[in-house]
Amino acid sequence: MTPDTAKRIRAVGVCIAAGFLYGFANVLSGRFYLPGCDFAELRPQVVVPMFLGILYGPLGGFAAGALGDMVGYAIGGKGLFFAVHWSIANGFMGLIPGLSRCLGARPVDSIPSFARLLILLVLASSLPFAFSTGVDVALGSLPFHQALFFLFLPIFITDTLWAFLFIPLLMKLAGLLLARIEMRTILAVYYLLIGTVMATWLSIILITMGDRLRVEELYTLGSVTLVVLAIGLGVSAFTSKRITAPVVSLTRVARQVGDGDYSRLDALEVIRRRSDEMGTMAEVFSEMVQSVQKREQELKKEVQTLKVLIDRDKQSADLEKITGSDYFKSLKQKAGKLRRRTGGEDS
Amino acid sequence: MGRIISVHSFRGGTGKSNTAANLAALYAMEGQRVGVVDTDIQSPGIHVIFGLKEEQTPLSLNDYLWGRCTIEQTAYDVSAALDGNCQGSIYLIPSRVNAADIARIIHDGYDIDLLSDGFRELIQALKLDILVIDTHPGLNEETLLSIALSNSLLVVMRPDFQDYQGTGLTVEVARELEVPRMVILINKAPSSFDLEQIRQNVSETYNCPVAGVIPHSDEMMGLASQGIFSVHYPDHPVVLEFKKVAKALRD
Repeated sequence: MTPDTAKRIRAVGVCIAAGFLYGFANVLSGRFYLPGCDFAELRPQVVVPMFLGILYGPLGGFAAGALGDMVGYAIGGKGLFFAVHWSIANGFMGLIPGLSRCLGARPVDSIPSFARLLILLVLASSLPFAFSTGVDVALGSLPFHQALFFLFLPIFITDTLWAFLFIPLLMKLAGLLLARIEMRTILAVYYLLIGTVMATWLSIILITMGDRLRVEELYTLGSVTLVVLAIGLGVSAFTSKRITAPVVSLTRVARQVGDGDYSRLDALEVIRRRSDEMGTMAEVFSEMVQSVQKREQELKKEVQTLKVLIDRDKQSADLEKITGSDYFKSLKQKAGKLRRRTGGEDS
Repeated sequence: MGRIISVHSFRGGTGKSNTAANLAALYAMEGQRVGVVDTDIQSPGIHVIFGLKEEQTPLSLNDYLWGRCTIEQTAYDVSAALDGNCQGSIYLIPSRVNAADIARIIHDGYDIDLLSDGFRELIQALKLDILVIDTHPGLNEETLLSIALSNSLLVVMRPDFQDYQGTGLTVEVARELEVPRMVILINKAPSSFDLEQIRQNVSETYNCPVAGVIPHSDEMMGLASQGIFSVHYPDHPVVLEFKKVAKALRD
């Protein structure tokens, strides 16, 4: 079996397993019908087929979504083909995010690609269900007004919010959302907003599920929003700290290098391990400093080798002392003769 | 007729004896009959490199100079030190290491002409192709004689401020004595230096060819006293430099 085949088989297995997971979750969430709805539920599990689509492509997402929907019906005792158009819609919910790769939203590495991903998620939460609700209307099972306000809109709004909340997180975990500076900044604000909206929306739903809205619950709603806001602010503070901290240490090391101290480069090691532009900058900076240091050493070396200087006056005096002796004079006289007699004279 | 090659350095600690031993070994490995004389009578040491102990050498150059024996009797065959790689032969004429003997030679002195007669007898008796003389540092009388007798002179120096002046003096003295061939070996160059640049600088400064530049090698330092480097590591960059020097001194 080639590695490619093995990979494909594994992908199919994962998609089927995810389908079953989605199906079981559908059964469990069946207890949480959205207010006024007979079919639409609180279903955080919609992110499963969407994410499968992102991971394994349109077909994988479709398989997980459609299979999961059918499995859910089957377990509920309604039979696999209870609502084929809804199963198809669920399939498309997984298929549409699967287009992320060819539309430049996988991996997410910039604000534009992040925007493309969010658009895909909105489409995945709307188009398929517009179709399936439309079929219900056409079949005469539901009047249009009811289909819009008690089926399509609740599904569209909640599914979009679940997707917005979880898909970027899952992509980050899967390494498909790269930690560029602009992503770090946008994600802080993004989650602040999503968190606030989500909290408000969920609170309203939970409160109205019992068909009652009291003053106490209104204040609960306000408090939850405040807590989420506080968390969001904390997260963005932490993030901006993470963004600015390396700039601070880089600046400090740069100043030390400017003063001729090359020994603190290892302080940049932590920053260099980052995968964002700061990491690249620290890397480039370290290399630059090392090459500057090397050049400086080579320059020093040159100065050192050029120092082969001789005190010629002293040398002449020393030479005079040696060559002036009687011994040397006689040695010089007989040197040639000695060489010829003793060794092999050069011609 | 044999060729006399003197290995000299103005200061001690340049690796002169080690260089002399390696050159002798390289010649012997080529099949030459080589003699090595340790004229560093006041601080002899080359016998250690050839693995010769003092008790194995009852007679030394000292005994010859005092008229106790012929020079032939002081020559020891150390070909075995080349671990079977010796195609020719190597004879070592050691100096006395014994402290009392060293004191005596410094005190009494000896007839300097005996040395040149000794070299001649040695070459004839042992049919030597090459006689390598490991000289005494500085420029005393026996060193001047060794230089004067030499067909080739190798001046060993370190790229060290303290060696520059003395090396210059040696080179000038050898010129006065009209030594037919003279080359410089730069030893123990710190490996961070640009070796080619050192070579050029030294060669221009002394107006004398530099036959080899040997970087400081911890490997060699560790093994230098346990045998002859050229025998154990024939393809080591250091040995390749020695080979260049050997060629420059002989051709």
